[in-house]
Amino acid sequence: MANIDLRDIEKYFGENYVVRKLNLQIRDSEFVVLLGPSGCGKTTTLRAIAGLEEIDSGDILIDGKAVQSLRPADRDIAFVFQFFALYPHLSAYDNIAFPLRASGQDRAMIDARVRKVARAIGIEQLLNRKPSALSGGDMQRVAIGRAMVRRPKAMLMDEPIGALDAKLRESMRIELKRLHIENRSTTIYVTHDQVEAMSLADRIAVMNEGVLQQVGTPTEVYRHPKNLFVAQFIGSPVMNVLPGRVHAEGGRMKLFLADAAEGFGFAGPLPPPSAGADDGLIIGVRPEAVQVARDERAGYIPIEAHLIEPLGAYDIVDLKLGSQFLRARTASGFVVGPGETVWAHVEESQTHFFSSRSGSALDARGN
Amino acid sequence: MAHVRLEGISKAFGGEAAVSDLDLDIEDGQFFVLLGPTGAGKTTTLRLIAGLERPDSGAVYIDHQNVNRWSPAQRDVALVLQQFSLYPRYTVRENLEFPLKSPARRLARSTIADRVARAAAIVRVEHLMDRKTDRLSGGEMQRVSIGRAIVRQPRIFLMDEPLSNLDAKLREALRAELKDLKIKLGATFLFVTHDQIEAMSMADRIAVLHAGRIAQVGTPYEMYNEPSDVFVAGFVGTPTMNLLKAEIRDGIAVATDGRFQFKLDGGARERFGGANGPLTVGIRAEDIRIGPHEAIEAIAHGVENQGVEKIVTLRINDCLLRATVPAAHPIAIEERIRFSFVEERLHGFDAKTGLNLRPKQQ
Repeated sequence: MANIDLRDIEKYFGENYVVRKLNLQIRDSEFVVLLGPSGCGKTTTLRAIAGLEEIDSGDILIDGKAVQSLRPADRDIAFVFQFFALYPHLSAYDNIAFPLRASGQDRAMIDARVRKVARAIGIEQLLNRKPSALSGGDMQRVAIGRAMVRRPKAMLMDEPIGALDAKLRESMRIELKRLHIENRSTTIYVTHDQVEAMSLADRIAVMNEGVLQQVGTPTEVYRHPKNLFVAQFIGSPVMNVLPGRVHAEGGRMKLFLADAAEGFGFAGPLPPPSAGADDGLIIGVRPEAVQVARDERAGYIPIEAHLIEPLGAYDIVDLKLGSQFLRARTASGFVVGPGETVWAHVEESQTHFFSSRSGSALDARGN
Repeated sequence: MAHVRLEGISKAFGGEAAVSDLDLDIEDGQFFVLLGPTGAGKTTTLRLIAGLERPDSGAVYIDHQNVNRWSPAQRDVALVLQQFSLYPRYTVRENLEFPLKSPARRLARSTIADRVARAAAIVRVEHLMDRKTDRLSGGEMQRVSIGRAIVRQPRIFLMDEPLSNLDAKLREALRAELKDLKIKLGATFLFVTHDQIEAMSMADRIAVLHAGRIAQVGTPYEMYNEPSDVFVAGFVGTPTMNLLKAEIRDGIAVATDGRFQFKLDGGARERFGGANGPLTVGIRAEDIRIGPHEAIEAIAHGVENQGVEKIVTLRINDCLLRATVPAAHPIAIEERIRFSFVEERLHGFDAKTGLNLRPKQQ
């Protein structure tokens, strides 16, 4: 219910930029996640939108109106912090109902809204308790409920479930997403956890060192990372990144990784030299795009397996490429032990090329 | 290199039991992981082995010698903690030399230099030797901490959540490095963590601790595929194993909250110990099939993109189940979908005790 438009936002401390020339348009009822490591400027950006932090230059527009000089209270935005302060003398129910009562809504309607939100986030049975009788996780859920019940124009959340345990985080992710679909409040959500970003976002804005790296749907940032930073920040296990070169051998293209003696047969398109490929290539391949077979196949090369990490549903196997490793995702128990030789290939449509100088993705498909 | 055995160890703090009647056998050269939630007794166990705590009862054996009365120094173990304990004003080299310069060791200069050089190479900090440790990144500091443990050539490496303060990418890299280190040194490692991925990826054997007691000891494969009780089943693996209340009547299973029937394969009767009546059924997300012709109808309650795959939360009446589907599979929230269980992958647990109903193999 609000468009938020960030134009050339800058913020610095002395000589150091916290946020640099940030341009981002968040559409009405969109769920955008600001994702990045600590110190990347994501929280500063969020606090600037809320009005809790001043910016040094640029414009923040909400529904086309510049708000950077408005007080936080005049922006009709709800904010959920990682650690939220509840009213200690009020029950969970009254904490959640508080913003509705403050705006003078009728009793039955307040009751219905409070119970609906409480059911969605799984705290119905806790509504009569005071915050002092709640666990940390439950308090945080009450805080989220209190922000959601208002159905504000925009919701800003700063790692709201970061302090919860893994199991609760899993279920809270789903419920936050469902509440968003129902309320349609424009939501900006800050996290350093790429799993959270991938599962919640309509679009992810990846930040590093104050600079926006890429904005796209979860599928876009996962499948088509714009640079090495995004490539390695999104996805777990981390994308393999190795120096590489392409060689024509008898009319066939071969892709050599690291200092391996043999190259993978490669038919797919390659980035043209004009794209910067002659600066040196870095090849990126996700572990699931490394294909492993027990016997010889065309285009595959024999590689010795080193460590095997059994992760339950699948294994991650380190394959020895000269002095470096290519990590492959295989079925559980596929490679029996270190020292075993397997045949491997990289899936061409999922092989990424980056310039070793700039770290930017080189488009191999000419578009 | 050493063999470690705990026999009937109990330890309480202020009347509150931290560990109770703990038996543990860590073989020479093993990478052994103690896994459990906060407060399970992992760190206490580690400190008991290090000699930083004395047990109220029971005995600690290192290489078959009772070491209950030995000081930490006599036990000759190296401790690596979550908080890096380096000397900030010293260089990396000085930090690595420090444990060897103790007068008690009386080591020759050349021996010290040699050991420091070798440890630096193993943890890949050779290029940082002359840098002060307060100028290092978190990953580099933790590598130096591990290096400082290596130079001592201890009998056992004890590590308490050494990777917890690092970012995800670095954690992944150091996981592999530690496992590699164990192979290179052939030393005994005891590693404490609350992170099941760390445990699964590094351990030769895992002991899951729950409320001061051992819930299960086994290989990562056993933990994942043959959990001994609902606690282990729910603690090991992401997404968490689905656990649902069910009832078996005349060979037909009915989910209590879901109010749907599901088939059991021929082996289930045996795996469930012939259970009839209420039980808890466990099924992992990847063992649920999704497709238009599957037996049971559900609503897509949530859909999470995880890049390589999607996790779909299925809702059947009051029951939520998580299932893995390929990333390309289009599913919208509130859409109707059909599913079934891979029957031979169903686990059965006692409704009261939570123990796996599978008969113990002899």
